[in-house]
Amino acid sequence: MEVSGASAPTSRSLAEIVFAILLIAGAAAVIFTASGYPGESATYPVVIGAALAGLGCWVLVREVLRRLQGHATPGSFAEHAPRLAIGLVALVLYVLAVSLVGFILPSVALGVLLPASVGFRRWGLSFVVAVISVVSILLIFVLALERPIPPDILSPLGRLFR
Amino acid sequence: MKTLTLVAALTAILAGPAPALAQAYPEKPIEMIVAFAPGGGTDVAARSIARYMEKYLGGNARIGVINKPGAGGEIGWTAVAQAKPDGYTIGFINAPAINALVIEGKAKFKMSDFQPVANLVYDPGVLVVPKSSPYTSLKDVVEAAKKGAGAVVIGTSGVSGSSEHIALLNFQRLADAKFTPAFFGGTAPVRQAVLGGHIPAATMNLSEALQIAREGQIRVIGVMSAERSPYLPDAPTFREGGYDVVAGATRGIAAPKGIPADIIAKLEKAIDQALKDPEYLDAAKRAEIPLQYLASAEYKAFLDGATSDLEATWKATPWK
Amino acid sequence: MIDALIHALPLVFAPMNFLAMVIGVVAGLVVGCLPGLTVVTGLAVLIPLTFGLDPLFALGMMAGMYNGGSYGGAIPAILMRVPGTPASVATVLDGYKMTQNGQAAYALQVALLSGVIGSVLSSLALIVLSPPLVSFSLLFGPIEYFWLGILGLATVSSLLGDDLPKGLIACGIGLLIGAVGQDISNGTERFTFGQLELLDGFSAIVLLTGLFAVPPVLQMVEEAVKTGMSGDKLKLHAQGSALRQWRYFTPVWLRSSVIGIIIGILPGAGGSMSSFLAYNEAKRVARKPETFGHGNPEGVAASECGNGADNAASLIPALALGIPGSGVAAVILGGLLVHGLRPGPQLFREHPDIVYGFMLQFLVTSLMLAVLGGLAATRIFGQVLRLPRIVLAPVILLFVTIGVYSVNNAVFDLWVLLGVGVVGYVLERLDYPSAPIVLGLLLGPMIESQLRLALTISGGRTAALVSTPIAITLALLSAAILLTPAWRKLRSAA
Repeated sequence: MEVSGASAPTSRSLAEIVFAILLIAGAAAVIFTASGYPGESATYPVVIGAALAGLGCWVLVREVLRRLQGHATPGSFAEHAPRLAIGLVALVLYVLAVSLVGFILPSVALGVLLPASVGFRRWGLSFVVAVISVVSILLIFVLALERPIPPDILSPLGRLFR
Repeated sequence: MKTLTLVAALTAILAGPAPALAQAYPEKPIEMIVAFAPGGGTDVAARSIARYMEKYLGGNARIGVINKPGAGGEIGWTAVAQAKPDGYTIGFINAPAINALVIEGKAKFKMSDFQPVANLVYDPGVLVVPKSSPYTSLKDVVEAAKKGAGAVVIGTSGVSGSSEHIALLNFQRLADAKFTPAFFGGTAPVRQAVLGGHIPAATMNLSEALQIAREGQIRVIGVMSAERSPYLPDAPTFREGGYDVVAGATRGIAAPKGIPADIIAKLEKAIDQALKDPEYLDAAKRAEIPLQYLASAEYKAFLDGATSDLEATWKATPWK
Repeated sequence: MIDALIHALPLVFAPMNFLAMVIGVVAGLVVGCLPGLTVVTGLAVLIPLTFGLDPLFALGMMAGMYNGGSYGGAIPAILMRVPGTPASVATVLDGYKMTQNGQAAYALQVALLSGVIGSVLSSLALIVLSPPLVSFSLLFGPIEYFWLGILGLATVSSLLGDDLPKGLIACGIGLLIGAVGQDISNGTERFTFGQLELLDGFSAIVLLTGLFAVPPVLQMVEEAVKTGMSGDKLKLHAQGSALRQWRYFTPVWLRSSVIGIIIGILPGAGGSMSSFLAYNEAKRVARKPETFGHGNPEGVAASECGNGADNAASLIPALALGIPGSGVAAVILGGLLVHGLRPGPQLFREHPDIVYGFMLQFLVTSLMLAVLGGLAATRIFGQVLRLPRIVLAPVILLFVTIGVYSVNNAVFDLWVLLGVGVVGYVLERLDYPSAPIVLGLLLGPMIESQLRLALTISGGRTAALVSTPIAITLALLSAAILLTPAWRKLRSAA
């Protein structure tokens, strides 16, 4: 995840360039895909794609020029890269867990483990907050509004309340 | 008392899923899948009938309406077709939109994957013109269309390949004329466009045109039903005009195929009774919902008919 | 009309009907402030339960829910940067900045008061002006809607931020995302990659939530702040009273209300456009437009007032013509039908006490909101901010996850949320503004489809696009909005 400044430690210039290149590539892919559509459906995405590619070039060239002149865009991409990585991994694991075992258990786990993983040690507080959140979600969504939650391994217990 | 229920429930869980015995059915909540978003016509119909079905299924029957919207109904209908045929998953299907999907060959299900339970609503299509329009009959519209190719723009509330579009294609074929369809993708915008005179003609469902037609703000020049509607007896049918176009939107309940016959019978009976419930009937009448009950066998015959009609149209004029 | 109003008054204040309004407002606040849950969902569950009850009981609940829900969306927008509804995106821009500046309570108060004033003026418009406004709304066909979309998109000029190409790129990304899905006029599937879930395009609420809610969560994890906001920053009256500053806010309120009402009566234009247009207008006429986006209370006031003013007005075409002006109005229409109240001019003749009673309920629930909303927002929801920020991060994520799931009941949307969230984070770190993405996403489809409809109807003549007075007016207005920032720069340079 460490994308920030290769040339200078406080510049996010590289990230700017990488993103602009990705944008241009994406726009090209859009134009390519869309040109296969029938005429009237194609015009709109092709026009936007072309505009995006143009604007992407603008940002790219500008950033390269700035680098050459020695004042690349300041700032850093990530405030704290290791913790950002933790956050991203937690997000992916959480969604994965929700799709596998349902909403309730992963949510409580996330509520406790995410703060702990970045050094928050008041376990009691984070546990209570997580449980209160999950229970209030169940009350509002399931009980009051009859909105289903993702298929949950705990859902047989739910029948007790029916 | 509470402890008793708790113990009973726990034992039920531990014992695992009991075989679906019709005697006990329903012993857990039934899921009713609606392939459209909450608040839509099908959703409101489902939520209303569900309450009365619970009443007539007896015991502590509970029906939970679950919305699985998207892809013009395809996502929800796929879920119904692929559900376990134990009677605890049923769903609303909308012919002929569902038949059209199957015929286009893209859907992950076949019509035979469904066990029709009962039809509830039949809402015929109509062709309407603004009140200031020079057209007073279907013939006027056809003649105008013949004069200049594509000269008559007809707005439809559906999308390309919707039942309205298909009906329009049939009309075109029978009248040997060419119209230009304009797809508004929803009822509200097409209604506004025709009220404001922005388009010369439009198709929609009868129930959507009733009130403004009675007020004289639009004219219904053709109804796509076999006989005149009791709600709007002055409006002529397409058949009277000499064009055999019968089309409309239906809403019915289906289950995945393979569901035990006695459970179908139970559901069928509950729906029949619900539709006869005075309170429900009263609300439906006041809202002018065009109810049309078809029991399982008749509903199946109707669906089969719709499929073969559409196949013929698809061969003659594919809509996509 | 006066007779009918006087007649309806005791019915509206009958104990049961009064209770219904209270329940409606509270339920509206709850569904509004949870992202993914909308007033439409709430009403859909509620309407079947009102069969056989007094119509004004059901209608009071609906009116309350509509008004409560539209303000409810502002609460998480201001406190947590999570827009509860698309209409509260413009509120995020300044509202969240105010929270960061330690003015959370004041921001909520400004939002509430502005929303109430918008709703009240809108209710009055509904009561007094229904007939003439209806004929105005019928003047809008595809050509006019096309220009209206352009006008909305033109407000992007006030959202671009300091970096022109980056603002435009953001807008372009939004437009492109809006193009995903089935083309309704010929069935072409654009950028769906065979995914059934993408046939109708991305769900706006899923994208918005991903774009706005996930980046701050990631940031909270990065910062790992182990303390919460101190309680005195959340006291209601410590930070000045918006009510006492009425002189300062009145011009914003008036302009925003007029904008909200006009957009409201146009079916299909809807809440998010009102708030963006109102925000843009407030910034356009402001003496220091550069303070917008950095915690200017006028930005919150304009957005929320425009949003509130849209509510009752969107019922004008619904009641008088049966054309719902918004998703919520569509559901309310269904609710009316269930009670045998068929919309149209005859409704006003046949059931004047109910129609005017309903309109009064809009007025009354707007005022109720002032009390209930203040209590709910600051006394209950606001206190959440006192939690350590690092504990708050997963809580936001939980609510967002379940809300997004319940939009379509699909796990697919959770992955979309994640993907969009990460992209949103990258964009934010590189100073690409997020608001133009929203604008492009919401208005792009409208612009494209209305343009194609207009051309289909005119037989391909582009001249038809400027054939009506309204079309020309809207086109000129769009040009004016686009050129204002450039004009300002030119003047300040001179």
